Parts: sequence; structure tokens; C-alpha cells
Amino acid sequence: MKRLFLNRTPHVELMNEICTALDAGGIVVVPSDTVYGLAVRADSQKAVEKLNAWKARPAGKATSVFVPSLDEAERYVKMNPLQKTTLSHMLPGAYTIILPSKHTLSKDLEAENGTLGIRIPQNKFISELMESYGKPITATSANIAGKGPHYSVDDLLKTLSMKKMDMIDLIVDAGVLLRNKPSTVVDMSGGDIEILRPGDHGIDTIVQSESEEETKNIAQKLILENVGTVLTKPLVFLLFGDVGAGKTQFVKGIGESFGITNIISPTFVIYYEYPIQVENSPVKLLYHYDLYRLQNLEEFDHIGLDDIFQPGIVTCIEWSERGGAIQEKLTQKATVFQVHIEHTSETKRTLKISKLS
Amino acid sequence: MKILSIDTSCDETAVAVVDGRRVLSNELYSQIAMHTKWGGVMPQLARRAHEEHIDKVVEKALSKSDLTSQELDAVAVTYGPGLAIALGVGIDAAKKYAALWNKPLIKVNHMEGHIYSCFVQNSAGNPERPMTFPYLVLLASGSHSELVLFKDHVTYEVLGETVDDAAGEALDKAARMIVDEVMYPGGPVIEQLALTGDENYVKFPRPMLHSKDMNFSFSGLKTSLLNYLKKIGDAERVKHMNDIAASFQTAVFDSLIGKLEKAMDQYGVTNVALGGGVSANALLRKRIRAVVKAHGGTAYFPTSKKLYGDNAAMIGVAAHYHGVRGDFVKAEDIEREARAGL
Repeated sequence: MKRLFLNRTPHVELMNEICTALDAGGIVVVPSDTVYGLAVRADSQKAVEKLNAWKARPAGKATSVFVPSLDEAERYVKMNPLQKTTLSHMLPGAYTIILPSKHTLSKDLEAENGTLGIRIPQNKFISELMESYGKPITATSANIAGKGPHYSVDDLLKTLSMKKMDMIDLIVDAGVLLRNKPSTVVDMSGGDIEILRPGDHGIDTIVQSESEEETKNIAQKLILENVGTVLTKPLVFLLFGDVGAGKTQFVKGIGESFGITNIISPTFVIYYEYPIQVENSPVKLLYHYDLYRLQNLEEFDHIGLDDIFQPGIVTCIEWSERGGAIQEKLTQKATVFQVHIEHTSETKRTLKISKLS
Repeated sequence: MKILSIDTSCDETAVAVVDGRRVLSNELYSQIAMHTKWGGVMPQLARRAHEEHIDKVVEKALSKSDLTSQELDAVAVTYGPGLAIALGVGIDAAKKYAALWNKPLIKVNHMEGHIYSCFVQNSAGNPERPMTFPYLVLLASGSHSELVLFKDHVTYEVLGETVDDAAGEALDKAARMIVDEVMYPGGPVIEQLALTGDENYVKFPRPMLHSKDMNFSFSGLKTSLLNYLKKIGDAERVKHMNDIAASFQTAVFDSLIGKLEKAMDQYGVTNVALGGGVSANALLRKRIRAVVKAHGGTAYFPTSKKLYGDNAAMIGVAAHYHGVRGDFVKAEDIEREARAGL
């Protein structure tokens, strides 16, 4: 088992190592746009059998494949011109598309009804790998069937027996991955579009901000529209976005709606609490979390989120990418908004806001 | 006054016994090693660890001080700012011991502790460092950046503070971006890299330097580092990590020192004290010493390495000056205040 670090290995050398291992029918652990994945060449029956043995997967379970492009995908699955046009708008992206297979790859990758899942992710490493390798590879999470996925190589290795480790030929270590949700699974095999598993999509509102003030105003508008719900259910804003996107500015906007003007970054202590003094306010307490420092799934048991599940509490969580595992729990107990803040240019931001049900 | 003081504002379970400015014992159970594994403090873990260790640390501090609980004049505790549920553990412990030993309670703001860290003496009363007010105090840590006018004992005026990120936080995050690895804390890594770097390699902005107030902002600087790293790409980043670190660190220090100089000029105060974790940076101390000297004043730093970061000795010394003024509080009047200001 060889381990290469993505950021410390020259690009050409890295790609050569991976392509050689794949060509020889080996198993390669690769970082993806979601979790660490297991890659083997999808056109080799032997390699796919080795993969399924490693994962201890029951027969008949489908495995989707990364393909370099939509044109390339047509060699493996059937799609009509309308479907291809639709897909050209969706891909690359965090979707797994299910279509009827042309049975040109290993049969063990297909579902029992003869369909195959394809992925063209928006991910620099996978795109580069696809470009170098030129052939489809498997896109399945690096974990034993029935166990949770891994966001770091160390986490993965901890769970493996020596035998399983020996079966892996190469590991590409990209450090700790952002906690993006798994891809949205879209079944187009029946002609219609059917969503089998929702991912991070489903955006209700898209707003542009050209200044910190505007970002604050957008936050204030959003809280004012929803403040009534806090009487019966806690309200949570999950904030996503790069360093400097304006996540703290957004929280400042929320705070100012309740007379709180001293909000600063809580990165160091993970969270600050702000009791609200405004008379008759339905909101009694504002929590401001920052998950920037969190790394492992088990940590979510330790950040004290249980405290926020009460009416009268508004919670803003920065770096929610790292809190993927808690989203489900939150949506059961609170009204949850996802706010993605993206840099459009050095001064402009795009805010994508969606309410989770 | 002889005081037992407790500080659990973040990830250190700290207890000290002081007699006036003299420290008789200064005990610390640090969760840093535990949190390094996690990349940072975990609130619930912190609470549990504080709860598990507080009694032992109290016992140890008292036994090392050679005082009996009956010889104490008061029990002091940090009420904020900090991590709410961690603060709560210290406050509960202080209330418990004050009731058990029948001693009055004193509540101390964590930041005034850092201010007094420059005036803490060892058990022999060294350094003497007589206090002649006023002082300008620059506080810089992972969670704070403040400029304070220290007018008299326990009398402060906050002249400026950060409006977004703390200086230490900016350095921590920069380390993660420049080295591209998860680490905690990152400030010392930047300091180390910067030693061999060219501070003029990248021209980063000096945020807020020309604003009229004394406030700090490091969020924009962080964004400009991000934009810069995106622009140059990975190969250049790896090649010039030390130059980028030096340039970034200098931008942070220029902002801190620029505001400090402005305050020295505006208030005519030239005696300066530096407190908080970032004061562990040797270059920052060197630069502040030079600037203050040029203004004809004297620069004071925490009197021992143990006093740079969080500790309870500084809380005890601040509590002493509250105590001599009779600033005692009832147990029911101490509540945690996560964002307490001075």
C-alpha cells in the first residue's frame, strides 16, 4: 500500500502513479467532491470483482462510475438528445445520473434492472484524473458496505484490517475533506426525471450582495420574515462559504435585528451566546457557532448543539460544511435555512438561500 | 489580600493562589494536547474536562501555596468573556469553595487578568515593577484584539477592539491557508516560517490603519490572503511559504502597532503593556519595544512565559485590587457572560 499526498506530489508523477495502478487492476483510494472514494477501472471485470470483495458488497448492488465527459458517457449509457441537453446544464455537478446501460463496462456495476449511474463531478482532482486516465473509473465511497463514509485517510485506515489494507494499492491523501453532502441521485432511466436521493440542491432564492452592508440587510430581511416561527420552533441558519465570504457579516445582520451590535468571530471558542434584551422579542437568545476547527464526525457529539433545540432560540452556524452529519438532526427539531455565500468577484457575493424541510 | 482564583474561560483549567501581586502557586491543567487532536477546543469536551479536573487543580494550587483554606481572604473567578459552558464550571466551583470555606467572592473579567499579567510578581516579589498610571494596554490573543487605557487599578477605558476576527485568529487561519494543513495553534508556525521570510514579498493591505477610530479588523486581510493564494497557485505557495507568512504577519503587526502609536499620540500615554497569547511572539515584542522607546516610554510584557496564555495568577492579581476596594459579589450575582466587555 503506497500513500501519496496530493499537495506534496508533483502533478505528473501523481497522475502516472494512479494511472499505472488503475491499469494493473488495482484499488486506489481517491479524494472526491464528497467523501474519500475507491477507484478501480470500470472496464475490467476482475478489478470490479476485487472492489466488491473489498467492500463485502452483496451481489446486485450497483456502483456508479466517474466518466470524463458527457460524450464519453454515451459509450456506456443510452440517452436521448433531450436528456443530453438537460444533462449538459447539470454537469459537471454533484449529481449521479441513472440511465439504461449499454453493457460495455463490467456487469457488476449495473443495477438489477440494467441501469448504470454516471458522475461528472465539479472537482479539480477528479477532473484532472479523468483527463489523464481517459477511461471510466468506479465512484464508490471508501468504506465497507453498511459503514459510514470517511472524510480523512487516517479515519479510514483506523477502521481497516491488515488484509483490507493490503488489498489497497495506492492512497491519494488530500487531508480532511469538506463535509459536502453526497451527490443528488437522479433517475432518468424511465424517461422522466426522478430524484432518488436529494443532495445539496434545491435553492429557493438567489440574491446578489455588493457590500458587507448589503449582506447584513439580506440577513435582516430573512430573519424578519421568519421571526414568528421562533415562538414554536428554534430557527437555524447553516452558513456555507469560503474564508472571507462574509459569513460573520451575515450573522452581524441577524444580531443587529435584535439590538446586538458586538458580534465578532467565535472561531477560537467555537461559539458565543448573546442573550437578547429587547422587550417582547420572540427571540430570547442568539447562538453563533463556528465549526471551522472541527474535523471528525465524532466531534459533533461534543459541541453542545443540544442546547439550541428550544423555542425562542436563533442559531447561526458558520462552516456548516463540516457539520454535514448534524443537518438531519437539526431539520427534525428546528426550522433550518441553508445559506451559501459565494465569491462572484473580489467585492461581489452571491447568496443562495434554501429552506430545508 | 490572599486569594484563590479560578479561570476556566476556554481550554485551561487554571487555579492560582496569590498574595497581593505575589503568586504563591499557579496551576494549570491544559486541554491543548487533547484539543490538538481535534484541531481546537470542543465545548462539551471542555466542560467535561474542566469538571473532571477542577477539584484536583484547586487542591494542588492550595497545597503548593502553603496556605490553608482558612488563611485565604477571598475566592475569585473569571465570569467572561469566553466559552459559556466552560465559564460555568469555574463559576460553580468558585461558589462551592466560597460557601465551603465561608469566604467572600470576587468576579474578574478575563481581559483585566491579561492586563495585570504584566504586573504579576513571583513569590519573592520580583520583578518589583512599581505601577505608575496610566498605561496603554494592547491585548492580542486568539479571541481578542483590544486597545485599553488602564487609568488606575481596575479602571479601564476600551479605546478600540476588533470588529470581526482577532489578531491571533487571523494568524491561526493564515497558517492553515499558507501551509495547507490542519493545525492548532497556527500562530507559532507563522512566526517560525516568518523568521526566514521576506516581509516585503507580498504587499498585503493594512486594514483600518487609516480609520479614525482605534478599532481593528482582520477579516479583509484574511480575504486578501485567500485571493493572493488563489492567484499564485500551489507551486508558488509551497516555494514561498516563508515569504508569505512573513508578509502576512507583518501586516497584522503593522495594524496592531499603527493603532497603538495612534493611541500613544492621541492620549499622550507612552507606558505600554502587552498581554494575551500573541505576546508570545518575539518579533511583536521587539517591534513594540522599539516603537515605545522611540516615543520615550517603557514597554511592559507579561513577567513570565506562563503568563502569556490563559492562567489564573493574573486573575488573582486583578481580584486583589478589586478586593482592596471591597468589590465583593454575592454568589447569585455571578453569571457567566460569554461576551463580557471590560
